[in-house]
Amino acid sequence: MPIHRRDFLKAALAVGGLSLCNAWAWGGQSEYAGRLVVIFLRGGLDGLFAFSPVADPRFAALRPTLARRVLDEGIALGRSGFAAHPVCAPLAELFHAGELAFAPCAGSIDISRSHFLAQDIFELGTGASKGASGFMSRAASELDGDQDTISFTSEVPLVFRGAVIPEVAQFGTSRYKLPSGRFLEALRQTHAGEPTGEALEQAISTEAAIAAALAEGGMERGADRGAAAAPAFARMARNMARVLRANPRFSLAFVDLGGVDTHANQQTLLERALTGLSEGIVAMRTELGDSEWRRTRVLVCSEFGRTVRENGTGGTDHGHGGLMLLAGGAVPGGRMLGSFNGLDDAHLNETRDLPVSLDWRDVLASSMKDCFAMDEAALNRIFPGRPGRPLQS
Amino acid sequence: MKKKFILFLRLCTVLLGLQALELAAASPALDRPMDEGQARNMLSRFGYGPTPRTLSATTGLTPRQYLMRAIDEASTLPAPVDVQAEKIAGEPLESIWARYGPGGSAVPPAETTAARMARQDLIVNYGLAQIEARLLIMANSDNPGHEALLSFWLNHFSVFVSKGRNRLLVGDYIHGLDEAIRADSFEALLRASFFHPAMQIYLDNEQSVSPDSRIGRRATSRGKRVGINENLARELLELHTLGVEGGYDQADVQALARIITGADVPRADETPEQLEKAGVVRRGYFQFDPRRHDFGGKRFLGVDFPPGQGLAEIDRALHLMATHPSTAAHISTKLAQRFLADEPPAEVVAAMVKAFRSSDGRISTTLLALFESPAFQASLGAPNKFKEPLDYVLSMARIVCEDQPITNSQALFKAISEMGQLPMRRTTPDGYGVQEKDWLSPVAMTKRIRFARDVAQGTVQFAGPPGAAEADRPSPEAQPGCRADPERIEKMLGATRAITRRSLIGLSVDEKSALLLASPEFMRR
Repeated sequence: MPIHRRDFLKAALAVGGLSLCNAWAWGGQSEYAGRLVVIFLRGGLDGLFAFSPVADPRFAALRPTLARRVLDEGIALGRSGFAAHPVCAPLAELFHAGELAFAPCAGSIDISRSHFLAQDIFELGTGASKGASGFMSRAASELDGDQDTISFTSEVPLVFRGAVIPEVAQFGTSRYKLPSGRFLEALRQTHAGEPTGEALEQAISTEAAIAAALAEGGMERGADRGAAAAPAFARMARNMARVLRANPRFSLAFVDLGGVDTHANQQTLLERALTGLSEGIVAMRTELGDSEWRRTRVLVCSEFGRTVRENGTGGTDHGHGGLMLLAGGAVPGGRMLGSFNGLDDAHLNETRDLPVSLDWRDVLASSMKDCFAMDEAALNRIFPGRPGRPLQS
Repeated sequence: MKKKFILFLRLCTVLLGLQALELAAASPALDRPMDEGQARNMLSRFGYGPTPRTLSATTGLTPRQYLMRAIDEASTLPAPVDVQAEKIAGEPLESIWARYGPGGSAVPPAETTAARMARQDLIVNYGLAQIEARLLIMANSDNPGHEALLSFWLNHFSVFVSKGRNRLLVGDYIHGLDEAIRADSFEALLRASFFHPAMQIYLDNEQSVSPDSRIGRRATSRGKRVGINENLARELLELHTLGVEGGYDQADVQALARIITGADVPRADETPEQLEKAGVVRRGYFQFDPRRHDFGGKRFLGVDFPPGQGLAEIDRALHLMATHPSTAAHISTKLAQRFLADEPPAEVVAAMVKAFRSSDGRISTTLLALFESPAFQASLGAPNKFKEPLDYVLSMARIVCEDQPITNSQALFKAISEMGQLPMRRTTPDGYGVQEKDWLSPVAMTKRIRFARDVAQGTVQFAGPPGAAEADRPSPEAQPGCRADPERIEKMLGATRAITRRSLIGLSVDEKSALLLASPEFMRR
């Protein structure tokens, strides 16, 4: 009988392994290991607006209008010197409950300020800007056969491109259901062996997964179109959580969001986007329930941060280091990850942006290690050439 | 004197001869008439799919003739469609502009509630109506090569319709790029895009003000914050011209952002007299306002820009970018990806780059190098590009309607919107992707299969009135044409694979049509 990695792991843990995110370590019912959900904010989030270094005396002067609200109404995040913007209050609560950690200076060693290059670099996870497979796709091939991956997007994002097409679930398109019977069989036949055939088979599987979530407790519906981004993401996050709860086999999930590329009118735009993000993460926690939340890690990041100084149009331009959040029932929360050396020019990147003190890939790798007990060789295949700095507070 | 004149004439003859030689350098690949199979694939690859009439008109044309027609001529539409497209596009922009001030920004004094609602309604819907009209033109075009080319440039110089005043301006932007295609020059296209307020608004440049300019200093003295915004400068270099690894750095982005300060859109609060006095230069709906411009010296792409130049240095910067070697490579690669293959062979791109550079960025010369390549010739026999949603929906309407007017613009709009590729609705400035990996997904398959079935069953009507929906569709007997017929679809599709023909066995007529429309063959071009 072949020994599955999971069985081996259970044995190893029983001997005294300590893990932060394995469900069985907490006595949960799930037979599956951990789960990693990546929320990728496309557009370059201004992390300094969401979680602000209010204790730094330069902050107010660098951002005469954008700093105002957080200076007045921000919620202090322990003794980190940072405060959460009032619209991020739900995230501050998670922080205080020890279920959320943040890294103010996360990112890539590459210093590109191009949205598209920087997004590619994140999704590829090799440090290069070109490549054939994304890190989620490579991670999927390291998982046990009964663990699956799902992308809550409309198309297959680069992060999931590679050998195997993931399942893809787009909400709000229930009108588009697959046909059944002889017509579906004829379609499967004519697409067999084609790339389109593989996508069709995954579509059939996802429909079953969503049907399972529906059977368990229904999906929230509503007019996503034209609605403000914030309530739309909160609802989407609830539905994602329902699909995940009803289908524990989904071990890697990905979703992307826009609305954070704020060159102008940032206050209004970002307050709206961050409200949605905060409510969405808390909604996921509620919908997943305690035991699923314990096996889940939610990682939020963006392709880069933005300029430390606000620009002339009430916004910020493309920068370098940015905010990364890590949330979940078993994350080492309530603390800051990576270092922050203040806002004086000497400590900035090119005297305009935050530097990067923590590589995304190190956080992703350590999360995967905790969630799936992957060994170093597997992590090197997923994230070749990552710096490999351990997490520290 | 006479001798000199003769010499001059001779020189002219030689020069004209040289030019004619270059234009007409006979090439077997470019000047051999296309057979029906090649014409069919050309219409799909470089167009939105064949119809009986366009197929017979294209068969016998050479690839060169097909391309020159795409560049030189606009589409001709059946009379009822022409009228309908104009009706959908609605009131001309000039009259709205005159009535409501620049971009609808001037609210008439003492406006009644009803008038206000009518005005807001008009502005909100205006941009989407221009897109709807555009889809109608694309679907019914007798010159689909032209529409494919225009779509390419609109996507390359992508703007988002629903940002502020772009709702009003997007139709004029489409028109401007359409005109520039006829100039057959990349620089003309770049200029048409840059000197249009839709691009200025989309990438925030109309808000960018040099702190040292007159308006900048005045604002600062009143305690207002103004300054430079890098958005358009960065995307000009990264997306429109040199490409992301094209050899520029952050200092170039900042220099360009300073150079293009003053590029602006009309505002409501100044009279023409005031603008003239201030030295504002108008070009259509675009204006250059020297009071916002940074007149200091700059260094951009290794070239010194002396102080005090104003608008002239914008022309100069655009010319530098348009003729930069990296731009030739960037544009050639994008054209080859859209019109040949997701990963075009390096030697094909190299030939296009050479053609682009030797012709000062002439589009026809660049594309003829593509058409001439053995890889392109071979690919006309084996369609390999996964259709983007726009290709898929429009080619379906064309194959089903067979030259009958496609009039239900809302059906096109809705389907393309749900599949995620509505023109001018891309929020990010990179434009829609053109590769299989951008569009092939499980969700996309579900949507395409559903749509094919709706079309085959007549649930979606391409020939109904513009808004013919599922609820109020006419009975099958009363349907005005555009009824899917599996035999005619198969004939227009050309070669089908044995497995597809086998899969048709035992299906109903509607299911047969749906299967063909959702087959791997029909999903590729």
